[in-house]
Amino acid sequence: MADGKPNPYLRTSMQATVTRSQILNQTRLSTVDISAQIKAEQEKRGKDSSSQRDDTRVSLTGVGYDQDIYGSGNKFEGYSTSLPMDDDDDEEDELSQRAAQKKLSSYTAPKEVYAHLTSAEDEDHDPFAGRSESKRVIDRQDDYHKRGYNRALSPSRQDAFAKDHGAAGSEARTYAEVMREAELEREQQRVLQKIAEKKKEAQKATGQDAPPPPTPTGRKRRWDVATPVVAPAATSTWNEPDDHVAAPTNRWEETPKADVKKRNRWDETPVASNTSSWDATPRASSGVAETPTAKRSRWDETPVAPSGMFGATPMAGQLGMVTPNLAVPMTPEAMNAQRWEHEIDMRNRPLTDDDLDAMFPTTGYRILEQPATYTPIRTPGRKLTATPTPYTGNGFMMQDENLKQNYGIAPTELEVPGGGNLPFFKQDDMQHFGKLLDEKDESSMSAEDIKERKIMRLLLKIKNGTPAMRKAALRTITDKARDYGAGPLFNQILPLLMSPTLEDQERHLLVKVIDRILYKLDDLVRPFVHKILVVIEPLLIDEDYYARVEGREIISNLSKAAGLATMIATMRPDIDHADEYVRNTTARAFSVVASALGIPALLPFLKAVCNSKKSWQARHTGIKIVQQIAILLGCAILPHLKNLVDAIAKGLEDEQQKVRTIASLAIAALAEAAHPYGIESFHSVLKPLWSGIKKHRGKGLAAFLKAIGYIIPLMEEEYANFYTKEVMPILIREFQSPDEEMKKIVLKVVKQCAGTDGVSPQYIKEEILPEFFKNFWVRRMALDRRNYKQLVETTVELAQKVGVTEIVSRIVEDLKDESEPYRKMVMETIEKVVTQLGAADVDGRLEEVLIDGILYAFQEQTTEDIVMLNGFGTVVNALGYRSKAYLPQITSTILWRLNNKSAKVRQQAADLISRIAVVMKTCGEEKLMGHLGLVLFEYLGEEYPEVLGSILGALKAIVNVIGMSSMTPPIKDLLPRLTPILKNRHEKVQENNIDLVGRIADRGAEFVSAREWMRVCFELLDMLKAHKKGIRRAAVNTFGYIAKAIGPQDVLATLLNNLKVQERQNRVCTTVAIAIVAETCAPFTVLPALMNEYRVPELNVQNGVLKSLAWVFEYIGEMGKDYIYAVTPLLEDALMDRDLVHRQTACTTVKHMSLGVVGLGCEDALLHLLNFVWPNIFETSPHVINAVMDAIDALAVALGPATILQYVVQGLFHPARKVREIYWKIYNNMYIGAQDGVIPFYPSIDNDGANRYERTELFYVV
Amino acid sequence: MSKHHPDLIMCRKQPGIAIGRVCEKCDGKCVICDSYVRPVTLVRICDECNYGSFQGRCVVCGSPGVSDAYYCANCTRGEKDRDGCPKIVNLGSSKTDLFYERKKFGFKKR
Repeated sequence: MADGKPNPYLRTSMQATVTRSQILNQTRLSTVDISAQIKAEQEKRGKDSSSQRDDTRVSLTGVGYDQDIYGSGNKFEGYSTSLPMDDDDDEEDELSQRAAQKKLSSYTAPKEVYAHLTSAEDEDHDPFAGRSESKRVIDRQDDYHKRGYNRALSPSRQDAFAKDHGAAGSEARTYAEVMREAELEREQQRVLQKIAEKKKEAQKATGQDAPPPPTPTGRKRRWDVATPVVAPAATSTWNEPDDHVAAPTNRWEETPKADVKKRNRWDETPVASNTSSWDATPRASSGVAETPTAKRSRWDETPVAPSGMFGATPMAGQLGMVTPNLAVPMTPEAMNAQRWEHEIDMRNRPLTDDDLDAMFPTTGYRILEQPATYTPIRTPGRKLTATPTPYTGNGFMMQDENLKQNYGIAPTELEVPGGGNLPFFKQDDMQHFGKLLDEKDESSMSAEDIKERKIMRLLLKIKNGTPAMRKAALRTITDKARDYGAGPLFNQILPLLMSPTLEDQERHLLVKVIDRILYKLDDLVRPFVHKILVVIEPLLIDEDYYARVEGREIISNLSKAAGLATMIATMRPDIDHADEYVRNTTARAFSVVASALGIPALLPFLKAVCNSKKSWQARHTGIKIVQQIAILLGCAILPHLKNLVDAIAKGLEDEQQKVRTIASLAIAALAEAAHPYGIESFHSVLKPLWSGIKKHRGKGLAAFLKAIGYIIPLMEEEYANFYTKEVMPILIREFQSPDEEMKKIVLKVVKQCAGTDGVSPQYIKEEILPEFFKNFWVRRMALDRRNYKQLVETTVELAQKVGVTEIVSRIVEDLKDESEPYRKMVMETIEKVVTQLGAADVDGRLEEVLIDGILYAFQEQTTEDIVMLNGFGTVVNALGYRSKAYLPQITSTILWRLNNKSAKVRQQAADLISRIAVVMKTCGEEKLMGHLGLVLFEYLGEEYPEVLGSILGALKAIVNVIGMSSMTPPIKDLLPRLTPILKNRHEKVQENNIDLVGRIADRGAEFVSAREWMRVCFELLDMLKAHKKGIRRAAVNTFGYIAKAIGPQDVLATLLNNLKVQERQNRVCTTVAIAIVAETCAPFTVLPALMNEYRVPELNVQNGVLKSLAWVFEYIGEMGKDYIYAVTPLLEDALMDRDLVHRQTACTTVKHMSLGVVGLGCEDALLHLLNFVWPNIFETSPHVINAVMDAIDALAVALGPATILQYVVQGLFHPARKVREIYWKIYNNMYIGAQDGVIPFYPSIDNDGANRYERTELFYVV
Repeated sequence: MSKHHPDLIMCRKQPGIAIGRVCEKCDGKCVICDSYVRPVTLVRICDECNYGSFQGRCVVCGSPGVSDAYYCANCTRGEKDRDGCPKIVNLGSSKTDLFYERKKFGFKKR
């Protein structure tokens, strides 16, 4: 190439690069040019070849040859005549898809991955883009959950119990004020709705359709109009058994008013502009165009009017005003809004002529002239209304952040004054923490400001800091909570929690802060209860289980701190709140309060609410509270069942459909919780339920059916029978219902009815089964997870009544169905039925079909799922000896599949061997198993760890069944092959391998030489590093077996050396291994060497020795009595050591020692040790003091409580509180454990006048 | 578990006839002191801890149970088996912290 001659190879490779980059990066100009050229070239060539094809004559340019000899066919036939340039991606995808269809995916990076890598390796492509988006809480929430942000933090309430009523600040409101306000708001809602209705009617009357009416169902997303968020499956959840969360789409739950309330902000008509101030875009126009009839934000009425959004926080400016007060930093919403604004502006900008040209075809369109009458808007006022942008419209903007902006440089690390280095500081944090960065001099500030900044700094550290910083800050804020005061703390934490930019973890951390300070603040929180609830209640309906539990914990702590009266007073106004969201969350919060403070305390209130005459919303919420209580508390409601049922009974005959529905759901929840007791409490509601079933249709019917379905299992036999017979026709009628909810409920009720004693199998067979299978066993049911589960459960329940054959014979053919999920569902049902009822019922013919179907389904599966494997194993095991006839076929399938190219197939084959090994033994197929063993042995070179693990598991299963001596390959060949595999770092391999090696060491150690076992020992030491506990445990146990086989000396030497390593986990495991060796080979073989090791002047080693001793004495228990005197001098030394850990470990040893030798006559040594333990009671380190207390407890058991009492009385009345405390703690422990044993040894004190101390009866005994 | 995680809270109500279970991971452990040595006394839990979806769950960590739970010999000797229902009723900060830590990085839920 140096001579300028083009190298042909080089050129091709260059071309290839060009081609690829052309595919990869079509945006680059140069590449586009090249690709265009290539395309043109290609087209030309294509034309050539096509002309060639058409032309049968011998041409000058083409190749001329004899057609007689070479045939007249086109030599290009069947070939691709050109290299595909643009579409090879697609083809490759298709290829790989076809490949994936044909076989299981394997471990080699499949073609899709390559395709993905090559196609995705765009420079601008950010692989984490998809991830980073979903971190914020708000992004994964749907509209319903987002309603939580519509609520505002109300001003503090007055603490009715406080002595000084001005404590919470002058703006604190009383209960009466809040109630009045709520009433006012409801009234407003009503009026607004009326106005809206009137307007609609008027519109209808005039036939105008100019202003588009707000969409009646489902509002548009406020946050992102362009990109739809993937909302969680919006299934309705009113019938969910547990604390799953009500989803928004539920038609029942929604208040009739709810639709009208929220309006789309893009709506053009500024009619009822009652959008909440939390709306995404703060519109400047709304302030201008507001009509007198429009509703003001409800927080405007509060005394802190200027701060429109955060009623409580004084920091926010008035975003709705025309001239925003820009001195304060923007709130996150404003930031967000602005961001959106920019984007929307970009998208909505006027289209230029160029744009339009690019969009439309060049022909067929004509540019019209503007009409002569047209005049563009020139009045600035109208312009202002036309573009509702708060800042840009005003012509100037002075952002605070600009001063601190780090232009383009990612703000990864930021020095917050006095805050240390934070790992990150997001732009969003500026809203809340911007103050910290203004670098004012703290000495010139007021005490309040300094406090505020301190809290802010701590919160920032908790939110953004490293784990260590976070921990320290959390501790500080907890310890100083009372100094800071509830107000300053909550005024900062709560707005942070309402911020829409919050991420999951941040929310968790802040919630944790609230939890911690709640404990400390106790009744100081009362004025803030409502604010906290506003923030925490949304957690109760979060999709995360963890968030829900967190929310419950906080509310329960809150109610304990604030007390029932405060809680009720605070939440009462929300019970008939206009917004369904608020009512829903309040009901859930109330149920948590009930669980925290007890149902009886809440009952009178509940009764009153459920019978409220004022509004049906209150009744609805009250009944919902009862339902939630039942769900949350479960069987703990039983003592109050009658009261709860009576409270909601009236709801079944309410005039509001919604109330009736929720009442029957609540009854269902109560009955479910009460099962199998409490039918007598439900007598009063049976009649209304029964008549309800006859009266209702659709959703209402479903709810009533559900209630009946849950009550029937509680009934006595003949009643259950009667009711089942009565309800069955309705159920069978509803089998055909297309409604998913109804389907689930019907399935559930069928299951419950079939489960009662009163229903005869005959009845089920004749009446239920045909319709049931016709309507439910269809492919569609397998697609939805919850339907799937419910159907399997119900079918299994039916099988309990009618037997295996009846069910299995109906579905067994479907094992060969073409839909895989459906096959899976069939398999799972068969597995469950066979597990519960066995296969004795199955006749020969069915057996054949069954095995055939299972084999088919097993081989045809494309997704790796445990279901098929389990099903196969269960059926074969259930058939037992009867499966002998099929074993050869099964084995040959396994062998065939062990040889498969795809790793997953091999793995499943190996897994199947371990499932059916026992059956093979039962069928007497030892020879077959030996053969399988040999085959597996040969496959030990397997390179995929998952498969290797399964192969080892299969070998283990075979060894277990046929025994060490008759194993093929012989153990002496097998083990040396396993030793190198011990080096494998894959968990599954390690686990299975160590199990197998341990089994061999346990049962067949004599087949292998001692040298080989030592080799295994060294490998095992590395195993102690494993992350998985099971592996470490298996490893230390194997040490025991090996020591038993080859004697403890060598093994012990290895282990003692290992005590010197740095890693703690490794050392701890070694100490356990030493103890196990001591246990298996008798302690006297180990103790001398171990105690000798204590002389090594190294902390780790000495601690290791002590720890080993602790384990040894725990393991050997009673045997310890022979060794106590030997180790006492060592323990003396350790208990006097300066090192804390020495004393701690020695105390643990003493504990185990003394518990082991209770009553065996070693009291003298123990008493001696007690004297060394006792001075440690004043230790403050939690681990040490725990160990010391444990030792004293154990010694109290071994020496009797009297001895300890003698020690304790010395300090019970010590003048120093710190001394007294620990003495009383020990005394209390003893009092709990051995109260009667202590009494005779109380010191006798002479009687005195005021308190008599006579103990005459006792003196008889003494 | 509660030995190594002091923030875990045990139920401590009066145990009923329900037998406590432990999951695969906690199998063999004493529910009080985490010892694997000599399991002796069968664990009984209260009715409420055995209710509904809690039935058959691990006493220690709440995952599906595979075997019966036991108190070890030393805890039995020290009468720790008579202190009431040993079911852990809260989640514990280490567990929740871990969950959110993982969630932050987008790992799949365990």
